[in-house]
Amino acid sequence: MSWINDIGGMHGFGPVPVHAPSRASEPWSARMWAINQILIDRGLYNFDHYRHAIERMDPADYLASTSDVRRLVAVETLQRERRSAAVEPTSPRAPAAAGGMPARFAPGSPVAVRTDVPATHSRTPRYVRGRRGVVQALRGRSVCPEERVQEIAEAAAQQIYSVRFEAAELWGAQGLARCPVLLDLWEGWLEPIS
Amino acid sequence: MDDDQTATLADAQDPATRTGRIEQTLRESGLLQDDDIARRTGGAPTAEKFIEGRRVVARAWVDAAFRRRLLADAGSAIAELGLTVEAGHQPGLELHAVENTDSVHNLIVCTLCSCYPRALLGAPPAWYSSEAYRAKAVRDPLGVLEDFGLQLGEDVSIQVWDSTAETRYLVVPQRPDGTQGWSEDELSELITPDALIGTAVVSAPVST
Repeated sequence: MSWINDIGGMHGFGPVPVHAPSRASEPWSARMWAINQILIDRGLYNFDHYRHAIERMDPADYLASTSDVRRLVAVETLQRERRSAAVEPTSPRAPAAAGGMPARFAPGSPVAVRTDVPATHSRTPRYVRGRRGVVQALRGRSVCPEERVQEIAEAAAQQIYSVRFEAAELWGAQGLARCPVLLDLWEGWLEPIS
Repeated sequence: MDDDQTATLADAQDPATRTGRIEQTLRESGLLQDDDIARRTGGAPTAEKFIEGRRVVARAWVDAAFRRRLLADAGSAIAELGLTVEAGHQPGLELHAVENTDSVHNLIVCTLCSCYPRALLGAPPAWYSSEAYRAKAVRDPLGVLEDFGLQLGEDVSIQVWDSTAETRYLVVPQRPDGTQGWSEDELSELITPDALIGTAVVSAPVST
């Protein structure tokens, strides 16, 4: 269905820790941040691989870790798995002039989110799959994260849309009309509603 | 795809030791060279970045034309101040500014991780990356604002923006009353990270 990071809408985490102190970054954490940047720049993996390595953590480990430790685990994982692999430094933003299919939807288009269950990294949260919304605006264009993480050579850039969902659509009777949710979704996830 | 070799927390040793081990392996394979890290650690998100980044909102408060440009094309507008949302290792990031009004309040979240305009504003407040915030903001934004002690009028809607793709969001709070004639620098000092995410509004201290 999705991975442990996909927690939008879940109960059980309690009130927001408003006064949580910002911990000063320890030296190893600053080094790991830099190492991650360097390895992405050198093509050992891309940013989507990095995100997905965090998502693939054992769920209990994920919830028990700070973001610094999650980064460490991700880099450790990727360094083991991709010792010699190299990724083409991609420019995932395709300029509009480069062609590709024209945008399928316009602002105001009613759309439904597909109910697919990708086995890979995805940026379409579980809470919005199968839900109906309205396109508000066009964002940019890029290869979708599912294809970026699989390094699909011929992947084409897709239009990204800002889509608005009414709270009742997402949360039923607990959703308030005054609290809509807006997400940015790749075109491949959207179907028209007649 | 390579087989899954996901590292675990149980993999021995403290983070500093594991970091050292990773570094050594990478140096041995040639993926890391001598001064690589030293050259990069200066690029990490810092508190100083926030002090620069919040100037964008102060400028929008005093300059109506800049405000219009910011709302129409935030990336180009912040470039006028020498600022950017782009990060070297994460290509394609864009910025979108959303304004608070008397009838609409905006709240930014990243439910899937903790995406945030770091290159513009530095590291987010610790609460922003918490599971509690990431889970609650999309389902119960009023409850989140209650956690922060922020109450809005019943006729105010709360638009929750989940940063799922390449766009990063910046809230433009309403300029506080009682700041007529203030300079951009004075206004800038009132602006907090919470206000640019949407869990606070900006207020001017009451003069005695």
